[in-house]
Amino acid sequence: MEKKAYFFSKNSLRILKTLQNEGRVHSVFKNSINILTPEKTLLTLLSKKKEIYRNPISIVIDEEDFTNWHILPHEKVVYKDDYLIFLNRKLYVNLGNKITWDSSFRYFGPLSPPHVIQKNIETLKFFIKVMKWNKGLLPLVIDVFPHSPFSKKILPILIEIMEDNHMNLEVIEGIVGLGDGLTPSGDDFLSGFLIILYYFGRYLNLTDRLDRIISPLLEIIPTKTNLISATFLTLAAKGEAFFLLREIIKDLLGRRAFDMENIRFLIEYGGTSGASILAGLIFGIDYVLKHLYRETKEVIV
Amino acid sequence: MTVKTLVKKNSYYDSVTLMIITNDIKKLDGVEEVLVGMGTEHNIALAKDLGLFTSELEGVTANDLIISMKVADEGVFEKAVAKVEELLSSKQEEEEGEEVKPQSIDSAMDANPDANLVLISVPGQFAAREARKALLKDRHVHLFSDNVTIEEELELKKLAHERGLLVMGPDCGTAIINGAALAFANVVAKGPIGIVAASGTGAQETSTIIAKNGSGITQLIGTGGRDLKEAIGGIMMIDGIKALAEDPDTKVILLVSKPPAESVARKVLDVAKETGKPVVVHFIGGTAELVNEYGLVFSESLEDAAVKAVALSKGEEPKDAPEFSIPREKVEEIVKRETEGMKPEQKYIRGLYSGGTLCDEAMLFMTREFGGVYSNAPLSPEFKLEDSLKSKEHTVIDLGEDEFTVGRPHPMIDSTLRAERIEEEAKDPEVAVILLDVVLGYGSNPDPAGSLLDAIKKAKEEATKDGRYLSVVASVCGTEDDPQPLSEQVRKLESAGVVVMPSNIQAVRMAIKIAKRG
Repeated sequence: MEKKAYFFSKNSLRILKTLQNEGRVHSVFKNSINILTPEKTLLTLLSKKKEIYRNPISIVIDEEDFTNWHILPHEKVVYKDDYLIFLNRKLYVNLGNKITWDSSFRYFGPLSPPHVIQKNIETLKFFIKVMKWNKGLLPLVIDVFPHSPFSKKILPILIEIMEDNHMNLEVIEGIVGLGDGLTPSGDDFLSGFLIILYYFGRYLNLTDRLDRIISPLLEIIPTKTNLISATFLTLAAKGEAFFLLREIIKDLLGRRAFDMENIRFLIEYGGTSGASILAGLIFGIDYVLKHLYRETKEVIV
Repeated sequence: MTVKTLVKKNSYYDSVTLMIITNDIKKLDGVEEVLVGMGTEHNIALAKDLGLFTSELEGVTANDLIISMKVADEGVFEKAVAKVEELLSSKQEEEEGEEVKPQSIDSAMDANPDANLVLISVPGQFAAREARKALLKDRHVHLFSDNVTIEEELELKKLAHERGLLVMGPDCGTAIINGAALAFANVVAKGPIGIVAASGTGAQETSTIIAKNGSGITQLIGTGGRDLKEAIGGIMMIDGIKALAEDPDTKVILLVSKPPAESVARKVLDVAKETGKPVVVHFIGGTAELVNEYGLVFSESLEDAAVKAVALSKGEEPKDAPEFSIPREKVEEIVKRETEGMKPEQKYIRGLYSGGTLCDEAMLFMTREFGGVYSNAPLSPEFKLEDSLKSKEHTVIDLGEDEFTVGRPHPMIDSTLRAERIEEEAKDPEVAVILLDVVLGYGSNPDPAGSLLDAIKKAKEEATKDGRYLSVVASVCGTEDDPQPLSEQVRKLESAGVVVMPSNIQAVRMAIKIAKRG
């Protein structure tokens, strides 16, 4: 059986090379397969149904449902002659057609003034309330009292973070690995938060300051959560975002029209992951507007 | 109450499944609290806080799935475990069953899973994004919007090409797919000719002339006007040709475009030749040499292209379309009638066009005759009007250009601007002929001829008061089956003293003859 691939994240091209030495299937889902390289990094194969969710380590495959492949965790995978080969299944993924995209940070034009960003966030929160999008950790950022035990545990931590303009590493670390879902909702939340910090950091010339918090956090993350979650958290901390998330950030912070459809897509991602990422993103923007934007006089770009 | 735990070592289930498990277990009678998550340090700590910790949780890792619950008794736990196993083994649909109202392109596609084409008409800055969404959901795209950057166009077309889809556009005014007229298009019978066109009114003119000649089309694939530019490389025209090549109902292929870059033209002609089907090529203003080199059929005008395609579809030798399809005597009679009352200083033609390609065709043939034609969109820069609102000598205006359409509908929909301009041109004592196109079909004004009648009558009256005779020559691009029947529109124009010719090129030739007094 031969399948075709397209939409390669730039990272995936680098990861692929490491698969010239044999890798292993890490986990298999209906719409994604994670492959573990000999260097212990992940590569995600994503079904075409979920292209909109292409991520910094993904390759999109022209396939509707991976369960048809009957692949099991720990099976051998190798990259050879521009094919990804699942040796046991004689299944070949043709990687010849490399439409690439770059998940790393990019300037998207001038940052909107704080009051415009504030207005965007208020509008977004209003819609979340009206649409009753109360999945994951979203209730926490629209002032709805949480019901799940995870949310109840996370809420005081978030309040503590929001009240502290110095960002205490120990407090932030308290939500790594905490919560429901394959990627714990605390991690999803933190992904949204970190990616926003990264974007603002680059725009507001705060990279060094933020790095003092984020660098030690990056060392802690792999010890506190599972590999899939740690991978995405680490990428977020380095400004590497899902395609969809980057579009949303551009809408919220830049001078583009606001696309609620992208928000809906994000909320539909995973069980609660997308909603919790969005919650982190909103929280991050609130945090920056409260503590960082005001302190900064010079705005680059 | 008792606390029980289920641990799935090194197990990864997607978050939707885990969410469903959480919700379903919570609903079971006798379950007071449940915690479903990965066995991370913080989740274990939380389990302890909630009194959900059991010995099974000792030694679990972040890669293990844990399900801890506080249940009434052992029986409830067994039910819960059975439920978990059932959910983990069943293939749950990922999307939840909420009804989706099509308020966006995505929800519309979801709500109409059988629709395989999306027509996008949104402001240009959003158009590429919407088109991308449609392509990613395996839908062909008709991109009516303009103001899409060439980089975005290239990206979209590459993506479409890779996925075996069409992107018709951006700025694609016309397509007819499987008999469905998209945007500005006419009702054309089914027949053996397939058209790929990088020109909206060029496509309308050829398809309607095919219909007027008793034939019909299989598909009319629009590509957008920039497809044959070097930057795009004719991606969609090539894919369109290939699609028609594979279509058994298409016996003849007709290509319409402004002259492409030679490298692109060669690529397109190469593919066209490979089809093995008769191919008529009309690169507006192009020369015969290149087309002949590939053994394909060159055509000089849109009408010529349509007539040759019809002949080929009947297995006949393609002959050049005649200069006029009405008898020579009739032509002379019209010229005599129209020029009798003219003053000697009346020598110029003023073309007021709603269709861009028809406008180009007029300029091209008038330039051959007069050496240069002024325009807001001239064939060469030295004939650019300083002020598009003020004509000069021989002038042909494309009223569909952006300068006239910002904040108002296209002139094919709203005739106001053109009607005003007709009256304005009539005041110029040097004007002999006002030349018009009237485009029918879906998307156009429901009565385009009718909307111009008052202005035409007033223009003629104005000239008469001044002792002049003003000739108005028009062609009507449409079919009898259009929402505005062709014969009715022709009758209306003729009732106002307009000379109506069967095609744009014939109208241009007639205008030239009148201006030159034969």
